[in-house]
Amino acid sequence: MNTTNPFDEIEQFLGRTPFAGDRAWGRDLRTADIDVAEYDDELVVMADLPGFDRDEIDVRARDDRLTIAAERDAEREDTGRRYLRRERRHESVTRTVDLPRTARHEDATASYRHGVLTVTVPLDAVDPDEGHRIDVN
Amino acid sequence: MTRRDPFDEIEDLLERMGREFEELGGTLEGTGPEVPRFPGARDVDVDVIEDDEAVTVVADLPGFDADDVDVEFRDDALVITGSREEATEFDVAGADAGDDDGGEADADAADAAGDGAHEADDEVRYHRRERRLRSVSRRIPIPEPVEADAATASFDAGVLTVTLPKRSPDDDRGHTIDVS
Repeated sequence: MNTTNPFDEIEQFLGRTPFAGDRAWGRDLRTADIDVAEYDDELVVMADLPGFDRDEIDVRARDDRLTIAAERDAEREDTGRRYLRRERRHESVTRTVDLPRTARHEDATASYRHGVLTVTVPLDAVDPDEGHRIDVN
Repeated sequence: MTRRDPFDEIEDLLERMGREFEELGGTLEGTGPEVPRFPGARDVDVDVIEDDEAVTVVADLPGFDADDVDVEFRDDALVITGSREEATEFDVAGADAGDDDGGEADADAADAAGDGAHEADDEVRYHRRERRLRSVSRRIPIPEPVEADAATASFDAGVLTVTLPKRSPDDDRGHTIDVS
């Protein structure tokens, strides 16, 4: 039985949307929960991606956007196996984060440990916009 | 008949809703200095899979060490707990950023002060904070009789897998107590 459980949807409608706030967005099965922390000289993105291998995770920085994609093989359908509960995110997960204009994509690094992906993007100290400001004498 | 009975699903829904209200009640009573829980914000996402030999529970616990994860079977339910100190990862990240700043010229220090002025007194600015960084726990009722003593558990890439072998009907007979 691969179809979405209608009761899950009712549950979501009843229980989650009004109370959960931002969390409701994070509950989407095709996304991942992330933290994005900006420090003076770097942007640190941490994403919960439990149960992946390193080579199943793809991280790309392009056009001021960081895209995290993780994909694993679909679980084999076995008639002898029956899901009593199925809450975990499955198969493919994608998440996009806007990067500041000062981000140095080429120097970004990523690591994966205990099911958590950490991407560190260095930021240039000087905002390029500052060069356009005209001082008033 | 492997097809799922819709009434099971209603029962399951009610059970889950009940648990969520329990969680809400727990917050009202003040169980600890935790972030308030929202009904529906699950602590731990689990799959429970049944086959002929066993009931397997798979739980997502990203960011935990194996040492931080505790599994217990009691009252026909599996209780999974992940403990960690609050916001450890942020502290580490903050320390790293601080170290980097230390090596830079004075101009950076001035920049940092400027940033601090419009970002309150914190040098880090969070664009998003969705990940749960506190201790978590989840109680999962196991609907089948299982051999808790023969259970096995593994933890890999933030995923806990617990296999609970089913108890065969023969074993059940062995547990009856004779009346003398």
